Amino acid sequence: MTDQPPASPGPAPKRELSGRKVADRRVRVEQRQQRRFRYAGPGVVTARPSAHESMTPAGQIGALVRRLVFGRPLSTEEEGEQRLSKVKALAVFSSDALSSVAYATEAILFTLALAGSTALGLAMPISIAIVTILAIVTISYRQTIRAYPNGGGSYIVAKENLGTLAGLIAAAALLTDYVLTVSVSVAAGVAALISAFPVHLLEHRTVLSIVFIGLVMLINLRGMRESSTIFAVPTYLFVGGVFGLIVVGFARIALGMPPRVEDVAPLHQATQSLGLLLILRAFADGCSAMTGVEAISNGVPAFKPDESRNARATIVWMAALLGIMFLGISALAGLVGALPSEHETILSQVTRATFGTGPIYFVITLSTTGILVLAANTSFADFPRLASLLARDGFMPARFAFRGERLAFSAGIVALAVLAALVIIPFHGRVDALIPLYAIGVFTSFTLSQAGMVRHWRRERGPGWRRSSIVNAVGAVATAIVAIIFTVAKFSLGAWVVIIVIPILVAAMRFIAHEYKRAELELHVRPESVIPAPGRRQNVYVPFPAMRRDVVRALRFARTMSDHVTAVHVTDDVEAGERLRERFERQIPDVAFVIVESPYRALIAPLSHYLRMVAAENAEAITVVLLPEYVYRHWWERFLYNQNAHRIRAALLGQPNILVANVPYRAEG
Amino acid sequence: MPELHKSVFQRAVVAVNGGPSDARIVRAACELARSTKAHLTAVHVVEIGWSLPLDADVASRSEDAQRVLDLVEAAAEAAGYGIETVLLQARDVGAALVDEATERDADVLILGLPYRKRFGGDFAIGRTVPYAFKNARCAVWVVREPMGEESAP
Repeated sequence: MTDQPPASPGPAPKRELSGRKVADRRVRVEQRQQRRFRYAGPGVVTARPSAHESMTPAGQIGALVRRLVFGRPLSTEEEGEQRLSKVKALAVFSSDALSSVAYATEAILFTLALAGSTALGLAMPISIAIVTILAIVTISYRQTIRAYPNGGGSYIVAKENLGTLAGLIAAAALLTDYVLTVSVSVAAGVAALISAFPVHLLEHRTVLSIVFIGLVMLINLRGMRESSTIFAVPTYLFVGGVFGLIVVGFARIALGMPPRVEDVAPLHQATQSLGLLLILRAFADGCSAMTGVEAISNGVPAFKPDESRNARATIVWMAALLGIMFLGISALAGLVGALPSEHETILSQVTRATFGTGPIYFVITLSTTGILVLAANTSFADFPRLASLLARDGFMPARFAFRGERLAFSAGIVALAVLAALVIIPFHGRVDALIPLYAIGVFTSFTLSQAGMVRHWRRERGPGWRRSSIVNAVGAVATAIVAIIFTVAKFSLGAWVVIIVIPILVAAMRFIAHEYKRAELELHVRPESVIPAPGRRQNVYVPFPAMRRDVVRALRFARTMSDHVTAVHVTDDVEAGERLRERFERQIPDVAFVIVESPYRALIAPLSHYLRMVAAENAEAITVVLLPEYVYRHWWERFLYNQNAHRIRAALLGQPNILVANVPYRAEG
Repeated sequence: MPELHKSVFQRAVVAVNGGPSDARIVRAACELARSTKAHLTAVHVVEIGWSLPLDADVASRSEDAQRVLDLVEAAAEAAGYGIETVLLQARDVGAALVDEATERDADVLILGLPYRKRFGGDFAIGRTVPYAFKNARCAVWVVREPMGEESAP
């Protein structure tokens, strides 16, 4: 690269201006040549925003649309402004965990209801057990954040301490769960909306879910800071609403005016006896409340400094809010007589019993829809980040490591939205059908992460390592037990799908890494090697269909590259070919002209075979094939020109000792 | 002091010449401009000798002139503030700066001054700063470079 981009041709426009005195005239010079680049130091130029603009009208329209939808492109230097305060980070990273308050109690009751209404009383003890595990996991993750202040997601912790395979299993489990989180939370959000407007919306459940996924995707493509601003409102509205509901509900009970749920059609009659497996299934369903707890540890770099301290404070806030709201709703549901129903969620029943169906009911219902849809946002914050780490390590396509115009990992965001929509469609957006798939990946990654932390502390042996490793070991054992319970209790209900998908994903990531490794070895340049000047001769061949300007230009360019230039004319009419040779030798002397006779009228195959033959015969030289390319002025002209050039290129590409290049020709006027 | 800035500083012209003080005065101007969201214009003047016509194609062909303004723009960007850049050709730098500041209705003209001594030891203030002091309608701020070790008394 040169120090300075080339100046535009011709003198720069100037404007002469008068001064205080006649002799004080001055001239203002327009700096037009610097519109796209800026000198930044010796040998370095910096691209201005205009250098990122497309040069084609279609590209410019695309850029305009992107700017309108997603906002102006952000420079890398603006990344700091995209960092999140604790309040905004709580909204982004905790919406998944907090939103599970809306369906975790319901998931427990749905399962217990299979053993009849008397079994519903077990919901509270199960909720207490879940909150206990939540506390253990939170304390463990606080330690993980302290040990990995640059972001210690399960993938990194497991990979660094337990090996690559463990890291990939954790990553695959998390990726699977992020996709399911989006599907489940959006489906649950739509279910909450249907509770309020059942008649109109029930039949559009799948379409609504996909529309919501698309909306969350679009907002995330605008960048993390904007998404956090947009999503903070419904998150805090929901938290405020649920706390208000719990306070008012218990106050009414304490004052002797207990709310009662009425007019609810129970789901079904008892079909099973209350056994250990059913209780374990209810416990596993309720553990869906803990999904998203790990999100903060993955996203530490997104916090404002001091990142580690802020992340640790935020995870405690999140766990406290989640624990209180979950226990509160579980307790109220039992006290007000809420019953699992196909047509109305538990939270909707409790809200209706407490506040009636007035404006407060609709505020809480709509904020529930909001936070459930936004719970997907936690996955949109973490899935692309994890995918970028995997891409950086060569386990996913490199595209996932690049940040888009808005500093968001756009490929990861789009991939997550597409996958979540593909999960929604076969299950018709039904939450109860999706729940069994859910959370198994999270608990697998919890376990691997905590186990990795135990190894970390034992290896580091810093101050307090024994206590730290015991805390993480307790976390690992607790989450491993939950993972096993989940697998046993949910296997036949659909968890087997996830158990198959995770190993497939691990195998795919290892395959990608193997491919990248192979390519890297092929393309590796030893750092100690000095690249010599090219020593091989070049034999240049130009397909010569007729005496035309584009072909002549390619031939002239060929002569600047080498003294060994040959024009190759393929024809089934030798006489016509000879007439062309006569003209060729008269107009372009000193260049060899070869006629390849093709009695069967084929063009591409004889030409490519001839070129391969001469390349093989002259293995000491590089065979360069220059293809004239007519530059068309309109998109539809692409169907009229260069068809043979494309076919010749396709036939020769990758052949040993043959290099194919295009020489464009743009017609004037 | 901040009140003074607020009342006088809505538009500023910053004179840059490619010297080491450019980045310093641009950073300072950006910091001062931030509170009132003042408009900053960096002006670089290429002096044209009497042997050439005033509108000769000199500045636009000079990579150096462009680099001066590019580096100023980069310094402002690093300070998180926008700056307009203007390239002038004139017979006299001081007159061009004063006239540009007047035309832009600037509240202040900011100039950097290197610490240099004439042969014999007297401080050399040059021609531009005294011209600006005498003729500029707006306020003139001069930021002198720190004295080098060898120059310190």
